[in-house]
Amino acid sequence: MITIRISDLGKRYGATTALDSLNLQIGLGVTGLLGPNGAGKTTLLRCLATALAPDAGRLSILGLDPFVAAQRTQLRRRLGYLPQDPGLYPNFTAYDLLDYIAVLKELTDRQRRQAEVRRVLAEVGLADRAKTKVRKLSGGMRQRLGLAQALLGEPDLLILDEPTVGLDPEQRMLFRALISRLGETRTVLLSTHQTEDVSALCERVVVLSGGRSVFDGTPRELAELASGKVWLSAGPAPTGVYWRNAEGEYRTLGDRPVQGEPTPPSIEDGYLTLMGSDAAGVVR
Amino acid sequence: MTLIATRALAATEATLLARSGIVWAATALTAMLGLVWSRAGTSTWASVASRAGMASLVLAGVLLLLGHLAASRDHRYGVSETTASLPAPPFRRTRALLALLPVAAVLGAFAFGLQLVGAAASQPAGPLDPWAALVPIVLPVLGVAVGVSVGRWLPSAAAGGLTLFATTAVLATLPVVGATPDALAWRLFPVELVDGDRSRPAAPGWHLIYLLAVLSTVVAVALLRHRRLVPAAFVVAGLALAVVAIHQTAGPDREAGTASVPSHPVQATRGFWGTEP
Repeated sequence: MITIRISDLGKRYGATTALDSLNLQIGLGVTGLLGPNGAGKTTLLRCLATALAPDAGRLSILGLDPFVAAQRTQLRRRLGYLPQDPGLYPNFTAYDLLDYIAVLKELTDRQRRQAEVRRVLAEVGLADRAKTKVRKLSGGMRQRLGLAQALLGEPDLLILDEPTVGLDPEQRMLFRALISRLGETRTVLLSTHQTEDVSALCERVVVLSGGRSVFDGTPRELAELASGKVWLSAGPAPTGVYWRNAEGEYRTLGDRPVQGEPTPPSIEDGYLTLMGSDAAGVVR
Repeated sequence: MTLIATRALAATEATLLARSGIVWAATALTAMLGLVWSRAGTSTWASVASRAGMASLVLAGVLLLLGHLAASRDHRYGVSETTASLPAPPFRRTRALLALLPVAAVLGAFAFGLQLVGAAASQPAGPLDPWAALVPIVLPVLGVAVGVSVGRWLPSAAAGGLTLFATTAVLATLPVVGATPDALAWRLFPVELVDGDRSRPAAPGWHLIYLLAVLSTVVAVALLRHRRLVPAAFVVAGLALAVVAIHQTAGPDREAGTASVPSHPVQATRGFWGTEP
């Protein structure tokens, strides 16, 4: 079921094109957005979260047109958004912050609001930090609090911009469990640089580059772009991207090195293959 | 839904302000200053009200800062992107911030009430003019309204402090610039100084109308941030009323001007500014 339809979406910042006639359809479940810095991921998420108006194109989100003021307000009632840098008020307690955001989300019934705040605090594992001031929370806890505010009101659409930044492995695992559960019944769109998150969570992955979609498929399909191009060998390869792994072997993406043995590609390999020399240069 | 949501947000903003320790400390300081100043001067109810008005400027200043902090909260902490995706529009949020005005009025009334109780022990002479008695309540309201308005237009962290500094400088200058108590600069001062050799017979009704007109202008300026027509009309009407009211407090016209509103003359005795007659 398609919940987001993006047609010829454009956004420019002065001379810089952030989104270039982007066309995309996103359905229920968890969709991951990958792409290099400046690819337009954050701009796209801002537009979908109605925090930024596009310059051109059409959008239909949950059957609503965000260009129409009344429908935009309706849409905002049904979405949860975690920006890349959610800010948060440092002098509020975690509970007060969520209560305040809940009021802004029009959860007007006090008892229901209090129950909802307690629920999301428990969801992100911060129930015991409800009375702690935000400024006293660690970076990971703040990130979870940011996620908690996005979860308020059980939104039909969750837009998460780099949600796993600052999370330790245990917190990341809890996050994955939470997001995969949420993705069963709603649309979750997350932007990340963590390809492990994409392979662990996403049913679908979209790769953006230069404000355009350059790949749209499953994580397996993305990985298969590097099929037959990933090798393990005792010595370094003359060409391609390579690095020495924990076992002391060289893992090469590119032409077969001397005595190279083929190995299954990862999403990262597929991504690097897709992005070509620019991404390869960064890795090397 | 809109009205209910605005009410819920207003209640939250009011609660956040009322829970601030700073605001209660400022209220206590205001009450204490008013009491100390009352004991230092002539014991008339008019002077008690006047000194309470002066003391309430402290509370008004603190509320200006807190109002600005509340109105600029999103900008200062980079939460604007999060709140932009929420259904509460900026206009509703500004209207909700106006809930700080009645809280300020309650705080002003509380501080003034303490001063009245304290002053009653010395049995001050004369009547307590009800219009003059409202000034220590209106000034904190005006303070928080200025803070909210500035916060909506200039949300940078420094703007609140700079506004307080500028306001204090202007207020301190007004009685100095005014050569006589009937001078315009003197009459623009938010408190009618009723004793001292530079005092003048009061027109508390018109003075209060002047303050309320300025208040409505400041509130309208805050709402004008959202490009609505009605606040623009209120800005014009408020300014016009303020000009009329200030004109009515002038010496030659005052008798006619105060015919419809209560006022009472006050004897000048010892000076509030430390000038003995």
